[in-house]
Amino acid sequence: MIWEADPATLIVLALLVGGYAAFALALKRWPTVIQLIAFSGAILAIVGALTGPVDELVKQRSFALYIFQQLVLVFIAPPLILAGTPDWMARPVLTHRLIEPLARFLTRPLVAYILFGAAFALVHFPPVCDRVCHVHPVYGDVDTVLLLVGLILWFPLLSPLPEYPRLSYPMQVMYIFLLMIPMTAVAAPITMAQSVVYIYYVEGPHPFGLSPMADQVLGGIIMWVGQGVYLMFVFSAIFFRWARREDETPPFNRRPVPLRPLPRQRSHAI
Amino acid sequence: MSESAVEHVTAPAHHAAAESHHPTAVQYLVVAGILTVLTVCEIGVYYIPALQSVLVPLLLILSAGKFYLVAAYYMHLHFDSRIFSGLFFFPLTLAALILISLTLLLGFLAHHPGP
Amino acid sequence: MAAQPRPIHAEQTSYLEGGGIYGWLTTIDHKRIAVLYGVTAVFFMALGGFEAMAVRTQLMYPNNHFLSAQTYNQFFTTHGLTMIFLVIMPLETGFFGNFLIPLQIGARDVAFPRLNALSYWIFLFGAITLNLGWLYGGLPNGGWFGYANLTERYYSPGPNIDFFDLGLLVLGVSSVMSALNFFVTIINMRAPGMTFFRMPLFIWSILVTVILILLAFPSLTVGLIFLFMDRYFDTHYYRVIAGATPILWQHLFWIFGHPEVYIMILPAFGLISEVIPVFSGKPLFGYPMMVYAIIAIAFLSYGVWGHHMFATGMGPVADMTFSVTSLLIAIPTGIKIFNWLFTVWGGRLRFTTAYLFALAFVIQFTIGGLSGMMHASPPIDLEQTDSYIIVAHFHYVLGLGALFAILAGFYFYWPKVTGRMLSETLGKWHFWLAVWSFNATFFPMHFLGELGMPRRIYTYAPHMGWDFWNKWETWNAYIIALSFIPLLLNIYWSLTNGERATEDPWDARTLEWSVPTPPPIYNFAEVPTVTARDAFWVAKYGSVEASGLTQSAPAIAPALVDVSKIHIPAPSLYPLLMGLGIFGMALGMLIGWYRVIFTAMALLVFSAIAMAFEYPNWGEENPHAVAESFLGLDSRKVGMWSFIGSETVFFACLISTYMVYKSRSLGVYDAGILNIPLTSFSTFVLLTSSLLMVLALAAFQRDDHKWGTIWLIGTALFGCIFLGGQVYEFGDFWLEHGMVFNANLFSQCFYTLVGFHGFHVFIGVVWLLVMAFAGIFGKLNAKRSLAVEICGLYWHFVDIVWVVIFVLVYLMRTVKGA
Repeated sequence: MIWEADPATLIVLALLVGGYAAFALALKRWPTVIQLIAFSGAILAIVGALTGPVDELVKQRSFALYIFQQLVLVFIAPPLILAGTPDWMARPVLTHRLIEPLARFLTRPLVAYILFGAAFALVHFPPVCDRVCHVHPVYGDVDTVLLLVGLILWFPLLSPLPEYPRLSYPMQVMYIFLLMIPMTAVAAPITMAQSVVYIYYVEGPHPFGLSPMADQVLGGIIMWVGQGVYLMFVFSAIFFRWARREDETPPFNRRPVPLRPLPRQRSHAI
Repeated sequence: MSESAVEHVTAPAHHAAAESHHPTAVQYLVVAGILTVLTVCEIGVYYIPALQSVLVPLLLILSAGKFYLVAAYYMHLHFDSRIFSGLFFFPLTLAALILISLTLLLGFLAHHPGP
Repeated sequence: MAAQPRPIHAEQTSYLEGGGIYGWLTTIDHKRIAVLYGVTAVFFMALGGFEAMAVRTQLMYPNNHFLSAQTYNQFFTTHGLTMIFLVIMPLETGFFGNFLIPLQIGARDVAFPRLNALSYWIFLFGAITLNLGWLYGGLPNGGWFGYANLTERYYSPGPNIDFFDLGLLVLGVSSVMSALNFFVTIINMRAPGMTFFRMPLFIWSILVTVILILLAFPSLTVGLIFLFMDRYFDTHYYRVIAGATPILWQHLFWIFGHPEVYIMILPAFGLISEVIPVFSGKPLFGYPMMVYAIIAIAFLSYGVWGHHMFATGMGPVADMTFSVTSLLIAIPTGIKIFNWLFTVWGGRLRFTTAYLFALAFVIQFTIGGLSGMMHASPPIDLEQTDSYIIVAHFHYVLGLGALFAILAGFYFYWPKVTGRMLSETLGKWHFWLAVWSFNATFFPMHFLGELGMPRRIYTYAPHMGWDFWNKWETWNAYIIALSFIPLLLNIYWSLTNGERATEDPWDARTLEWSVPTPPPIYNFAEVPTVTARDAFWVAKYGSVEASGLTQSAPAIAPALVDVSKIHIPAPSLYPLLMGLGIFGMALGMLIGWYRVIFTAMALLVFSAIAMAFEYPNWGEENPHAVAESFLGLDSRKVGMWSFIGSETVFFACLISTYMVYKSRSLGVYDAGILNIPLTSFSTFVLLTSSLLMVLALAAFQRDDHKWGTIWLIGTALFGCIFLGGQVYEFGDFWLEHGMVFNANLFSQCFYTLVGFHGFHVFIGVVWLLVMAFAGIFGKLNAKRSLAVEICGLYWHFVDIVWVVIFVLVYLMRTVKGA
């Protein structure tokens, strides 16, 4: 089998890798090993999910793998890209005087969330999807849109720049919880639908010997259960980072003190 | 109530930090203008036959925008302590999930028990 | 009208002293309210226990006729309702919650003391409403879940279900009020330095519990309102003949019902997590994991309600989803069990009665949890549902679980509450009798279930293999009743001859043990600054991990503060009067005597207004409340936002019912009748009113009270225009089109949803007019602009709800329901 890829995907990959390398060379700095690993992880995830055999099966109308691609694009690649971007690389871009106002607006948590929710829901809304999603060459661009809104979505949680502060831990938990609305709203109806909802997938048979209907239920469950389990892990990770942060907060006073005569101090931490 | 003055550290600065930065009247008027435009769009979308196929997502997006503007500016979540945003959006999420699942479980599955 | 403020200055040493009967009726002290909850709940525990004994006696022999079948149904139903709503919940959140929250977080009282008293009185009257059947007409008889459509007037003409419906509605109001109060207290009233991860685990468990109450009760309220309308206004919410489905009730009930299970068990976890470390002489093992587990359990509890409904045939996909989420709950629960065991491991154990009850809880709850996991699997559940295995399961998690935790907490905190020690000897008698009798009664129910005995049956034929175990269980149930005799003796002995308790009889770890015993009315002479988890232990021994053998500092330094300067809000009679008003309304509805309803409503409104003007400064009793709060936020604003959060769930349930029933509706009326131009106009009116509201707020904030008042009046005016539009719309439908309230599913859902929104607008208009009134008399200024802001938050929320209704109900009227 020849390892094939859509031109749009190749362009995105080239832009990502080329941009990363160009910045590193131009600024003459080298990312840390962890950042490099994270970034290459993101690239590998995109290459694995959007090119070659997986993509081939998607082109043969595998709905389940198509959903898998999308989850990689919004849940796996963006956090890794953000974790792999050093602050000195993001700073020149995001503090540029032309870009900054837009970036500040787009990365406001609610804006990012609504943008992602709207894009994700629209891409899966049958009338829209039937007209846009599987019409080459727009097809590849839908992937790019998902990657982009995914990056914006994760930015408030994983911002590489101190100038763009991350959400506080409790708010991160809230954000993750909020994220379940668009995911469930899209996944549940697909899973429970009584007929094949997208025209493109009506024709059968699909790869793995699945009927179009079974493929759709499988895809829906991958999205539904997949996002639930994934977000549960993210929630756990955030929670324990929060707990550790609070544990490490030095007490006011290491000395054993009687409870009563203490100076009034106020903490803003919650 | 003056005799009830408990010994306490007055923290005016910190009080101000939590409660200040309310929008100005001009900002309120701008928000009102946008809300009006969005509502006109909603009603417009409803009456344009060509848009019937995407009526639901368009209306949802427009009303989400209105929802956000009222919550963020009129209820000044945008300017207040983030805790209030949490107090609002957490239950809101739950409410949305309940709405989605109830409509699915009762409206849909009640008619067609399972694939 | 305005009663003079009567600030009491704390001369008394103990909260129990002084005041007499009137003092108790008007009390707003959280510790006294806790005692009131405790005494009431113990009374109802005796009543519920009596019902259980009668039920067991009936089941002792096959073909027994000790009770009539009707009485049997009433007794088992009321036993369940009593134990859940009138015993376990009030003991856990009402008694322990009220008593411990301020003491453990280092506060002087809850955020809203008068609301707290109001919650108690409403609870008491709700409990009486639920039990009115003892006097007239018969107790509720439809099972604690009251499945529709057996609860319809047609199938249950007597008042039994009305007691259930109205009693639970009233109790729900009380629960939501106290949950709101506790939530704001824990969020905003913590002592300096008491960050979230320094809070005692009981506080964590109560925090999560009250969030569950706030977000789960609205669903029950909606279900009960529908039932109320079906029974009183002849609507068809649960009637198949009109296209409706009784399954709706099951969904609404269990969306509430499963979180309710955790509302009952999480505080028990919290109590156990307080008792075990103290008597193990070690800090709680894995504190962050324990907190994580509580949050995860609560979070998952919203996604599992369907496992109560496998037998209704929801389809494979839904069954699978609910099954997976239900099984997932076992993970955080397992985390908790192991963390308790690791806390015990290697500790210096002191086997006091409280500790024994706590350890028994861990074991018995595990048994109940394991049988619960079996029910999470649909195929197994289909065999076990409605059999005695279910009865065994929930008596293991609630009776041998929650009740044992309550008893552990009881033995642990009795010295702090009363200032007297209990007898350990009698306590051990109680413990061993209880462990034997509870297990002997409920464990064989597993066998009976496997042998096929259905639950809730009145009697059974002989030779089914059930005879022996039924007789065995009944005799052991009598031993359960007997096991409480040592407890009663112990209480009597303690109150008359008990040894005086010191501040810290158990060498405990948390702040409540640092105050005198029993606590003074102001709790803390000086509010402590918290530097670590287990703050009191650290103060005594230097660090959380200290062995506790050498005391490094005097635990309680003598008070240097002049306690007479501490501000304590004055007692108030109005909570009791408001409670009476609500009770009168429920009573009037039951006997269909409208004069009673209106009198009670007048009393309610009068007390509400009188309460608002009771203190000077519009209830800003303590001018330093904001500066002293943990987050630097005003408690009233936090409270308003929490209330709004709770309301979103209420409206979500109403809206989803509308959307589902719109597409199931039969008959001539449908959404085509809706008038888009008129409601578009209404939408602009409401949006404009919101604009005027923010302009009013901005005016008051810059101390411009003239324009502020004008804008407020303008807001109220636009609100009235909106209401006028709605009245016109309803009148048009009703009179011109003949679409009466209960014409079909569409009409009743539409009127209910839009009507409830209109009702909120109406309340908002009244509120706005009161504010405008205050503005005219110059009572509002920049310093008090918060009062306007809170009113504004409510008003904008009503606006937001309309934004959603306008789109989902009106503009999407042609869209077929999901």
